[in-house]
Amino acid sequence: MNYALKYSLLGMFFGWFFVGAAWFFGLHYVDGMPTFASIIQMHVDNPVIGIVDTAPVVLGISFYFLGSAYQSLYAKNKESEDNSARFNALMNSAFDAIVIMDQRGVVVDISRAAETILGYERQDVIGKKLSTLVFPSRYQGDTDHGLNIFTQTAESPTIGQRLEVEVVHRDGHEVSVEVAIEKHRVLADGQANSAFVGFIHDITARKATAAQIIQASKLATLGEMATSVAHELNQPLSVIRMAAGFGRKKLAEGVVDPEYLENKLEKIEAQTLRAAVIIDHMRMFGRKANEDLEAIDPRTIVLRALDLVGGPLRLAQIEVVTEFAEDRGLVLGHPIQIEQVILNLIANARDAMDESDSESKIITLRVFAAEQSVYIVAEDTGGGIPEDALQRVFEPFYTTKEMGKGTGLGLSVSYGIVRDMNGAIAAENTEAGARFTITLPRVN
Amino acid sequence: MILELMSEALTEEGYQCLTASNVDTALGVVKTTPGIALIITDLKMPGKSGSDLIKAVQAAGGDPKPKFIVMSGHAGPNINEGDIDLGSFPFLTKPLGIESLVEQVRAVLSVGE
Repeated sequence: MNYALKYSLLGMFFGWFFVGAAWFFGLHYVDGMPTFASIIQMHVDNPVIGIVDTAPVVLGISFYFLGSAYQSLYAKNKESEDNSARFNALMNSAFDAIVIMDQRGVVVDISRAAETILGYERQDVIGKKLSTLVFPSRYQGDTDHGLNIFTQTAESPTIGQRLEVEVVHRDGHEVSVEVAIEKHRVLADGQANSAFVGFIHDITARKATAAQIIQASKLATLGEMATSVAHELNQPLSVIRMAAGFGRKKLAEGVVDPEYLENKLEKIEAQTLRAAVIIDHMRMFGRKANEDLEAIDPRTIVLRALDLVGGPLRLAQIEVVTEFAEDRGLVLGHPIQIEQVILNLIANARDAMDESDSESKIITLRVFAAEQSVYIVAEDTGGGIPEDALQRVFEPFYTTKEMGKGTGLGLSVSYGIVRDMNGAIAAENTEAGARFTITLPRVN
Repeated sequence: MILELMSEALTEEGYQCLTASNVDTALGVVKTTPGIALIITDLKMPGKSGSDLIKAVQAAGGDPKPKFIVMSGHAGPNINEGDIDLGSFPFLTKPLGIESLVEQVRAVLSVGE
């Protein structure tokens, strides 16, 4: 649409119209044959004619500028409309919920995905404060506090971070989400204001998968332990079988010696208790951990783990050394999961020492504490981890074992477990082998 | 405790029993006690294993050569440790029952020398 050109033509047309009219009314009068000189003369003599005759040019030019102006205005308008449409299309096609708020946290707009995740329609939410509407009450204090800090300092620790929180859907249930909030300056009503954009990502599926992986990994560890446990259980079972056999034999022979029978029965009872402890432990381990955070003595967890694998370790001629500091503090965590991590470390240590064929096979388990943290350390004499692998040991599916041996999941799951409990796990090499250090927050 | 009970079962049947809880002690017993007819041994033990015991005793020679019965918690006797074919020895599965123990012992010892 070249308006400029069109307008200019229009202008010239009008101009010629005036000229034509003047001609019609006989204003263009020249004596005799019109020559160039006489035409000029005529224009000088009669200023009106002069003006009229320049009309096409003048109008042509001025209309040209008019056209240009219109054109750029039109273009700008169109661009603005296009941008607006593009923006809306983008916002509403995003999978993540987008919420735009002003500096008070009041909602200005939300995307379609937001409507789905939160269960509200746009108009229900615009004009309301987001935090009061969708954050569970336990978070609201923090969000208000954060907003205040931001208003005063234009800084906030939560801006530009991903946070895992829960939001409340319109029908009341909570949804696990990951929230990222960014600020930007907008020019609204001629004033520069800060506004917030929140991106809300539904992580319900991701959390479920994570839980499944932990469960799968646990079951894998369980499978590994099944063989050793079967072996362990055979001991008490042997005693039970023989003791019972004796009792039965005696009775069959007609000999009823109460003391003898009592002795045998006592043996049986004691052994069943022993077996029950092992079985109970295994069952606890296999259950999906919806356990609550508990304050627990780290020594207890280490000993429980050793309960399960101590036997097989001895069989493999691995010496286990434990060092428990007097002041160990308590750990706030999920006991069964911590136990799983320790078992994972022990299993890795055992495998390392198996492969390395070192002279002395020793696993050292140490528990000690500092003011804020509790440390659980597992060391082995398996020769250590190669430098390039050291960086990657916690990566999922990364394994230095040969094909078919090991899933490569153990350490990554352990990493996730420890991190979930606000702790950390690190690997390093010692002179004789590897050392894994679990750090967990301490409570008293 | 298992040694106790096994001992009791076999003593009742008229056999004389000596027990040892690890390979080294067992070797000591074998060396100092003449005329051992049968050695019943667990296979998987902390420290030296059953096959170590068997190897050592067979190497020590002596007359008459003791027979062996092996025990294990595993399903079958196909655990090839070292250079001995453990499948060639009579096998007892754990958990042990006294009847099967006695039967096996009788069977092994009654095979003519």
